[in-house]
Order: sequence, then structure tokens, then C-alpha cells
Amino acid sequence: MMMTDLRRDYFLTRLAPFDPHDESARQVVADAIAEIEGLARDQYLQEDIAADQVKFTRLAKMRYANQEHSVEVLLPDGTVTSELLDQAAREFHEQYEREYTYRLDAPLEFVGLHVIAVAEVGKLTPAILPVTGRTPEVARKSRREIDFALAGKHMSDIYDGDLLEPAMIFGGPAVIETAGSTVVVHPGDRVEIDSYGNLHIELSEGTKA
Amino acid sequence: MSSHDPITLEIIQSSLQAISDEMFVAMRKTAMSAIIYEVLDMGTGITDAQGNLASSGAGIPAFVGVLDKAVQRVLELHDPADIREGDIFATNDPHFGGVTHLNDVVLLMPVFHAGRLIAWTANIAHWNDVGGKVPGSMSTDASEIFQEGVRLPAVKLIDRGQPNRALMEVMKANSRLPDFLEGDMWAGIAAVRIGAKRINELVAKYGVETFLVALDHYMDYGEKVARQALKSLPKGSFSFEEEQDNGLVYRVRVDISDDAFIVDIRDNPDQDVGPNNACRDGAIIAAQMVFKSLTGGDEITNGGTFRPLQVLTRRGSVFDAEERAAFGFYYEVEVRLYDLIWRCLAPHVGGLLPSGHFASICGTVLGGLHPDTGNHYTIVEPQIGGWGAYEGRDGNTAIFSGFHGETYNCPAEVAEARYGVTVDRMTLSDEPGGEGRWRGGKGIKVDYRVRSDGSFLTVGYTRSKFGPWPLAGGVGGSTNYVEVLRKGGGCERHSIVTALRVNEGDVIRVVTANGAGYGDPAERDPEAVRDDIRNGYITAERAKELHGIKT
Repeated sequence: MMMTDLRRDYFLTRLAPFDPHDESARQVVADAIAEIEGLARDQYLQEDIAADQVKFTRLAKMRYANQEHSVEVLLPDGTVTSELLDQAAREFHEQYEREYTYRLDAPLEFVGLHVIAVAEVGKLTPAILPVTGRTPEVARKSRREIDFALAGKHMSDIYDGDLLEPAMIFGGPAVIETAGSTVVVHPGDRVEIDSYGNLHIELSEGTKA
Repeated sequence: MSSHDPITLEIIQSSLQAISDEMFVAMRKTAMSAIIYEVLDMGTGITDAQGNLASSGAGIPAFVGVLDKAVQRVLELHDPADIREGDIFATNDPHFGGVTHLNDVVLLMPVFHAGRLIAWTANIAHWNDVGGKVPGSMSTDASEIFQEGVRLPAVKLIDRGQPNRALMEVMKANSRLPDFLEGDMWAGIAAVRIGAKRINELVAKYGVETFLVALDHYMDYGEKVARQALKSLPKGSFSFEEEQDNGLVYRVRVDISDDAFIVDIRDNPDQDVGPNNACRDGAIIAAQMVFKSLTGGDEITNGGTFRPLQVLTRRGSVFDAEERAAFGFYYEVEVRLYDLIWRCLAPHVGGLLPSGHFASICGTVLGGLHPDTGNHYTIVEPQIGGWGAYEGRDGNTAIFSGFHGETYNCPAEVAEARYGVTVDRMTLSDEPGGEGRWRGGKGIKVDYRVRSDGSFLTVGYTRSKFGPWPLAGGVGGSTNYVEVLRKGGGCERHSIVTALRVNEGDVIRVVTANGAGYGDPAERDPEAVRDDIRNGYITAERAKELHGIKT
């Protein structure tokens, strides 16, 4: 979660005919884009994220005239021209047919815009964890019987995940408890901790089946 | 049976319900008329190869009940060799499996696996205008079905995947709203195709034999549940007759035994010369809905559920009208029959059925030119009203009739934008009626202010003269009607009227009935009466008079 870019979704409703060859209809789309993208840049700027760091994905909400529900179609980057809107219209018909099995020779309607504004922020660099030479036995905090359903009941090792470190190797049946989650290791499976603390579990033939 | 894992059968059953729901959503999302995408005047479902309902489907119960009968009629009318993969059949005519009226178009798609017919997907929806003598196609003075629009005699709309363009153009040319008709038609096509695709996926996953066993198994289970419930009903012969708003007397006799539930409606008036007729299949649906209410409302419903039910009709009667009869207002005939069977049995079934509800679709058709766009618009709306009380509980307020079930009223904002009317008021009815130890739910009052001259209003309400009936000494409900308040003064009351001219500034006030009460009003909990007064459900004077409560 901490590794993702900043993302904001903006929605604007602006009902108008979607006609690539009508100047005022094109202007409605262009104005909507300018309005949302301007707003997004301003908001990022207030958080010290420069305009050139923000990337936009523009989706037009479109439908056949008289319908109520709309379909989101990707609007290509660039100035709103007849060609660009023609391309979006083709995409609408195709996408609509994929979802609903048919297309109509009916006028299209522009319902509004959905813009995704993504700003790349500095990524974290994962660090290699220190190795102290602890053995898995130190991390093992107890043993209890666990019912593995098809694999039957087994006395199992319970590990404290915070005490695991790189190069440790141990086998199931086991459970690794951490603050964020609990990992179940089936009988016969083998666990190895890598340099970054990730768990690699190699499944035995029994578990794969 | 034993070779099929019960969990898998259950999964297949639940999948069929999910597929019906997905078909419903596809249609709602693609339709062009608010009567479909807002009101949800539609239904979807799946039947087995022979046309038995495989699940309870989605949407209006009285509509889902049409689908099996439509499939069975298509099977009667077509050579099996002529029913092919990729076909879609269309019917809207009671004589050809359409069951209701010409506005309700049924689309049916056979589903094949390796060349073998294994199921049908189907939908029905109210199309705003299918031609005929008046806008909206439903005329209260039609005397023949030919005046009510284009008849689709269970013919192929799509032939092996290829659209029948000629038929589509004929349908469009006959409609006052051709663009909407085309949009709604393709929405229906999308629904059955998506359903068929999902069934194919289900069969690919579990195997065709398991799929077929699951259908049979679940229908047998539906029958078992119904028969079990039937055992606990009182046995005997029950009769009832009731005068209608139009002066006719409708009669019913119900014979309940351990293994059969027989509804005899042979002794009834001849078919109407106007559009107030039901076909035999429609009468069966009315009986099925009461039967369902009595035999486990929360349990499953499918073709098996109704096996113990028999309905006896007389050809040429109002409940089994012959060809040429007009059917525009079939739903008021069926809801009357539904309410009649209900009323006949309610005193005998130990609280299973509450007292009478407003029991009318209150179908309201208002149309004209949109003042902002100049385009033609037609509102087609059923109304919500009050339900009856029963022992221990007041009736529900402002919901659809039992016949109409899972629909929604059109939001004021949508009505104003789409139709160019102003919704001045949408309130609960403040009329008296429906009091009792437990009181009936409230009806509504809605005011539509018309914004363009030369608009028209068509309504066909029942329970306008005789309101909802009480039980155990309660007070009857109020009545359903429409008032037209003219801009220049003057007010007219209507319950049946066709293409009444209304102009800019006129207000159309829809009033629906309060449901009937249950039990002597004098026994109502004084605290509940005071609560009613505080909420404006009853005046202090009437509370004193009926409940003996002073504030």
C-alpha cells in the first residue's frame, strides 16, 4: 500500500450530444477536460506536487441517446479533435457490443467525464534485513494441534513472524503469526526466508494435489 | 439422483437465480424507457426445455409467471426442427402465449448444448407504445385487440443469430416512439443472450446431465414444499362473490383438499366488449400468486410449486376471453381476481392473508410534447398505495400492489427531466378510511402539473367505488381515483378515462386508497392512536369518533 502512486478520481457530469463533427459538442468535451485537469493540478500543487508530475487518464461516460446508464470509454490523450472523438465513438460501439451483444445506429450522448489523475511520488527502496544468526527455534513460541481438513490433524509449530530472519528454513505443519496476517504452512511444505524478509513456501506434492 | 452431489445441485440452482438477476440488470442498464429502467416494469427468468419455470426469476411476480406459459406456447406453435440455436422469439399477444396485453413484449431464447435444447431464457417488459388507436397503446374504450397495437404472434425476431430486419422495421413503423421501441427491444435481446451465455458456461462447468438433474430436482423440491404447506391449510369448499366498480359480480369457489387446490372461476360474466379481459393463462397467474402467498412466501418458487394448483375457467368469460377480445386493461381484471380469491380465503386461513389493500395497478398514462425539447413523451406509471392490516400489525404504507410487486415509483426529478411535468406534491394520503385495532397503510397523493398544451391522460383504476375490504370488524379503506384540477378552475374526478385532453397549468392529482383495517377500532391501543394523531394519520375528531380517544 505504501508503494503506490497518489491517485485521485474526478467526476464531472455534463450532458450534451456526442457529435465528433459538431464544434459546440466538441467544445463541451474540451471544456470538461480543461476544468477537471485544472482542478486536479491545483490540488496537487497545494501539496507541492508539480504539474509535470501529474499524469491523466480521461474516460468519457457515454450512452445511446435516451438511455439512462452509461459506459466509460477511454479518451485518447491530446487535443479534442473530430478524429479523437471519432475514435472514442468507435471504441464506445465496440465496448458496448462486447458487454451487451449489440450496437445501435443511434445518436450518442456525452454524460460526463471521469478523470484519473496520478502523481508519481518517490518510491521506497526495500532494504536487506540484518542476519543475527538466530535459529527458527528461537522464533517458535508454542505448539498446538491444528486441523488441516483433508491433510488431517497435526501438532504444529507456531512461529512469531517478527523474529524470523533471512536464511531461516523450516517445515510445516506450522503457523506464522504476524501483526498483519497469519500464514498457514501445510504438512510437508517448506518455508525459506529471503534477504528482504519475504516468506517462500515450497509446496509438497500432497499440498499441490 | 444419488450420483449427484447435493451441494453442486444447490450451486446450479443459485446460479440460475443469479443469471436471472444478471439478465435483469443488463436490460435495466440498456433500456431507453423509464417504465423499464426506473419503474422496472419487467421480469426475467429461465425455464427448462419444456417451459417449466426453473427459478423464481427477477422482477414483477405476475410477469415472471408469464414466461413459462409463453415458452410452452412457442413449443406448441413451432416444429421442434424449426427452433434453432441463436433464435429469439417475440410474442405480446394472449392468443400466442403473450398472456398480458400487447404493450408487454416477451422475448424468448432457446438454449442449446451440443445441438440439444436444454433451457430457455426469457424476459418481458412494458414497451411504451406498440401502436394502436391511442398514444401508449392502452385504450379504455378499445373493443378489439386490433385497436391495441401490433400483434406479435410468437415469431422469430432473430433467426439463428440474424436479426429479422423486416419485422423490426414493421414494429418501429407502427410505434409513435420508434427510437425507444428499438432501444427497448435490443435491451431485451441483450438480456436473453447474456442469460443463454451464462447457462452455457454453467453447463460447461458442471456437465449437461448434472445441470438437467439440478432443474428436475429443484422443481420436485418446489412441489414438496408446496404440498407440505397445503397439508396445513383448512380443508373444504370456500365461495365468495363481490360486486365490481362497473356493476358486474365476480365469483370464485376454492376447494382445498390434502393434495389439490382448485380455483373454480367458471361462473363469471361473459368477456367484456371493452379491454377489461384476462386470458386463461392470466387467470392462472392470479391464482398462482395467492397460492404462493398461502404455501410459503419465503420459500422457493418454480414450476414445481404450482403442481397442486388447478384453475377451472369458462371459455368466452372475462377470465378466459376468446380471440379478438381487447386486453389493454387485463391487469385490473387479474388484480381483481387475485384480490377476490384472497378475500374469499382470508377469513379462513388463520392470519396468513391480511385485509384488503388498494389492489389496483392504478396505471397512469400521461403524454404530450416535452416543453423543453419538443419531443413526444409518454409517462406510463403504476402507482403505490396502502396495504391491509392484519392481527398484530398495521398495514404497509405506499407500496405497490401484490400483483405488481418489485417495482419502483419514478422519482420526481426523473419525471420532471424526462417528461417535462412538474411534480408539485408527493405525500401520503390524508383521507380517512382503513381504521381498526390495527389500521391499514396509507395511500398517496401525487400532483403532476402539466407544462404543455394538448397533452393527454389515460387511466384505468379499480377499487374506485368499492374500497379495500376489512377483516374482523375493521373499517374499509378509502378509494383510488384521479382528479383533474383545471387551471381556470373546476375539478373532475376520474377512474376510467382515455386520452382526456389536459393543458398547460392543469394539475393531475393521483390519489390511491388506504388499506383496510383489522379489528374493532375501539380496541386500538390509545398510545398508537395518539401517535397517529401526532403523525397526521388521523384527525382528532375522527380519533374520538372511532377510537374513543380524546387528546
